[in-house]
Amino acid sequence: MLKRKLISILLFSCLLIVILTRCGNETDERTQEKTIESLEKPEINIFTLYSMTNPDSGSANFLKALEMAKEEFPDYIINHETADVETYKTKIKMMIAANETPDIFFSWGGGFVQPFVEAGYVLALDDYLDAKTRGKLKPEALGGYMFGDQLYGLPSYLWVGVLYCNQEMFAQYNLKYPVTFDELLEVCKTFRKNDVTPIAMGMKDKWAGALITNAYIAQLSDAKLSAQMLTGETSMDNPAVVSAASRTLELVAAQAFTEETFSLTKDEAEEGFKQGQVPMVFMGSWLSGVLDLTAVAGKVHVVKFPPVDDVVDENQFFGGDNGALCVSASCAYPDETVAVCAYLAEQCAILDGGLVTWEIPEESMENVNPLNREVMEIIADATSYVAAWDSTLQATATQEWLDLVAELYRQNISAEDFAKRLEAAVNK
Amino acid sequence: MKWFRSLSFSKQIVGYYLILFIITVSVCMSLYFYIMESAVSGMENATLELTLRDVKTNSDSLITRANEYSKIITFSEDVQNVLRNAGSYNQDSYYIDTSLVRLVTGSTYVASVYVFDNYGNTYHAANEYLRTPASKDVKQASWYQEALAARGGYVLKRNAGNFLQGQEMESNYISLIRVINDLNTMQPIGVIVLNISDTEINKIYHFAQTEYGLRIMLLDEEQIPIINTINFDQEQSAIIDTTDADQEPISVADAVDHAQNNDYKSSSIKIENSNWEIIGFLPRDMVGAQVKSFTVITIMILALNGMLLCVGAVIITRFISEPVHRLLASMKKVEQKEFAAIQEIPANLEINQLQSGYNRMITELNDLFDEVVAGQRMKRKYELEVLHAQIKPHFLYNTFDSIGALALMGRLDDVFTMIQALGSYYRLSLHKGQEVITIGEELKIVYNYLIIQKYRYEDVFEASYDIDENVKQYKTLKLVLQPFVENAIYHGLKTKEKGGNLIVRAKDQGAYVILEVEDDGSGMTPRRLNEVVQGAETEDGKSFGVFGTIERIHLYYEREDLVEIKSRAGIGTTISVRIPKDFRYQ
Repeated sequence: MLKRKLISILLFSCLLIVILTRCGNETDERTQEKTIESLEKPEINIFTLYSMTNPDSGSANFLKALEMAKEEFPDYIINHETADVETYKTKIKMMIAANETPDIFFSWGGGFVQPFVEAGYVLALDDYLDAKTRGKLKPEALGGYMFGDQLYGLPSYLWVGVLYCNQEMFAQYNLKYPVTFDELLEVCKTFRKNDVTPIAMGMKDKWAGALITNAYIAQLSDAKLSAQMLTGETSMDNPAVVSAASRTLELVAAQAFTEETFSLTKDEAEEGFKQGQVPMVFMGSWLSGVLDLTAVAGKVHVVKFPPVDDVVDENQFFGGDNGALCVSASCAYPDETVAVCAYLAEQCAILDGGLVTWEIPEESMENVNPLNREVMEIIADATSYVAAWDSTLQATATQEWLDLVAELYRQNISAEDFAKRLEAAVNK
Repeated sequence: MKWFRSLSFSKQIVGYYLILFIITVSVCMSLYFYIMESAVSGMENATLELTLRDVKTNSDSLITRANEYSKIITFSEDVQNVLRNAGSYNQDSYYIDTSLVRLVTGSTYVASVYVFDNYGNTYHAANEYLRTPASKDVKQASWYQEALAARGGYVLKRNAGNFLQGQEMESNYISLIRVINDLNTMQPIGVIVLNISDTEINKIYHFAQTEYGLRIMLLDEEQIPIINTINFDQEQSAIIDTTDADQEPISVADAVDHAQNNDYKSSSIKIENSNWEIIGFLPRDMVGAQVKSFTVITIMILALNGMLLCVGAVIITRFISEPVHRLLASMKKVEQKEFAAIQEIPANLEINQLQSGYNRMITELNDLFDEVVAGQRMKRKYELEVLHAQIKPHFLYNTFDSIGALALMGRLDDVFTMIQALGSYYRLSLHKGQEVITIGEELKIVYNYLIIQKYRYEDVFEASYDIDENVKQYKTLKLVLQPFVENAIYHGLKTKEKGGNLIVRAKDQGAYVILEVEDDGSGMTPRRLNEVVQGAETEDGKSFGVFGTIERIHLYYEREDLVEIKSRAGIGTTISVRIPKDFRYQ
């Protein structure tokens, strides 16, 4: 008995030793063959101009939506980088040209996004968006991102150029809100007679003045013509531009704008309106939120920018999206990236609740600023939008455009010369 | 195993301990080596991976910097403008050259930069001698399609993919190549080739291999080494041959296999955004050497521990085996009939009990032995006395006197009868010295004895017999009846004036034969009876008599209940002896 036990113990220990040494060898080989691999979660990189320091309410909404997206897509690491607006314009181009396109990036529509799309750097979203999500997008607001029937960007916000009027001052002088260009001219003249500056305008920021000229060009040319002018297919030197420039000159001649407008910034000039000293200001609808916090809060009425008699389309508005989120054609996870992109764009719209490019739930509109509610009524029947040129023209062309508009305000240039010089500057 | 079982106790114990020691030591050693091996392996892997990571990080950052430089050049307004308009006029090439030179000379990372437009023009700046492109048309370069497919992203090439002709025997360099896209249209308008300074690369790769003789290689996408810090000696030079690009490409797997055969541990890591690979080789004995001395110490401690264990086992065993050995020695003496108690030395409970028990046993044995010896001695004594009693000279003299008297009287028939009885008596009672005879023979002795005594004591007694014939065949101890008959005549009947009767009986009584002598002589007082039974001196002082006979019977049959004496003074005596039928006589 003892002998047998001893032998079995001996055998068992031998077995144990063999197993142990064998195990050792195996793990050894495994570690040798193992190469260093990253086990981290897949990353989605986002590059926008929405930063903490950007005062635009769209920025705050986006950052909030981004935090929500991080929770909504926990399997992905979502990185976000930002840049200042002007830096952003250059940097995003370089990144794309170096094929380092961020997975999700901000882009303006029309001429800005077009070269990226045509060179194949931007993902066409229709194949990745489900019908429900796609259906929530307002089609009239997507014009800047449609190329060959394909959608390349998801905008969130809308803006539209509107005329803000001080109710008290209009009542004081027993004036009706202007509906046409001629009525606007008359209203301006009446105010001026009463030593009241009719329209707040700070031409130190040239783009404020350019808005008005731009708005008239939009009224006088249809969407197709606008697009062709920007791509250089149609000359800038055309009747629409000439007509728009002469309307600007008419207003300047009627002394519609703030005195010493060239020494005031847009914000400085706007102070007059905010303090109830100037009855009108023409601006993008983003001003609605700002006015809430001023002396004229609750005393402002919004009207459609009074159209000229020969307006091409009553339901075509000057304005449009505020830029959109696009997806890189070379992103690693297109399905998820598009999902994140759509989520961000829609959440921004819901958080804003007002002028947006998405059909959003009723309850999210509750907190909308009353002025914007009026704006929403104005654009209820909008069929299309024409974007402002300063965001769609090339950087150098934009500067030329702004400089030329300034010349108009100085009355240094005729409408015809304006059109000729604009064509020469933009399409050189 | 038989031989093992015949080994001494202490040797067995030591043997068991030895086996136990071998098993535990081998298990411990294999465990130790296993743990050590994995620890060393883990250390090697950590060293290898950390270093590789380090090299990778540095390489990546070098490439990232080169990439940044190339982007600065690519997207600079000058370069963009010149390349855009390269087809229409050429006068700006001087301008682009100076702006390139400014950028290149400002950097230690860039060895040279070559920019190609789509119209066969080359613009360059270099911190080294100028290389000549293999073709004016950059589209002829082997990597052009690959660069185009990267859509503006960079591709890495060893020695610019041989598109730039350098000097012979120069060392490898890394080129970062990208297509230049027009920032406005995103369409390709040229190509940039940026060569990274080899001093920067060497810094990274040679700095990493100071520890443990680590060797590092950088392989391009075709597995051709770009940087090779392996100075394998003669034996290993076959593994990877240095920088000659024309050589057969070495697959990474081959290199790794070969390295492992040569006791090298290897690991690889990919460079970001490329198929380039960094491979590290770590000579295994370098790390292992550090733990070797530790292993030796451990083995020595284990061996010492084992030795101490064995010595301890021997000593402990001795505590137990020593008393056992003494017991054994004592038992050996018993074999030689020497019954000696041992000296009790306290060891432990069991051994103490064993010792005292053994001693008790020896004492008992000695007592028993003495008893047996005494019994035997008595037996011999009684036998001698029986012999003596048988011969009985007085009886013989008296008988001869009687015979002489009869002869004088002319009673020849009686003489004859007497002599015949005497002869028969002696023949039977001596019986060739045998102790055991049949009951029939015993009765014949008594019969002959009584014939002789009848002549002498004619008026003293009348003898009669009451015999069961069948009992004669059973055996009995010799002379168990005759002494009682003699006693009855001399002490019972002779002292009675009128004489008396003597009856001899032999009866079958189951398991026994009852032999009985009854007389109606003077009888005995209880005191006298007691004296007789206790063996007090008889009156004549020499008679062996009743006591001796009873003792003989008891000694022989080894029981004390066989003889019964009934006697009353003035009435008579009856002595009966029970002879067991089934007694085994020797």
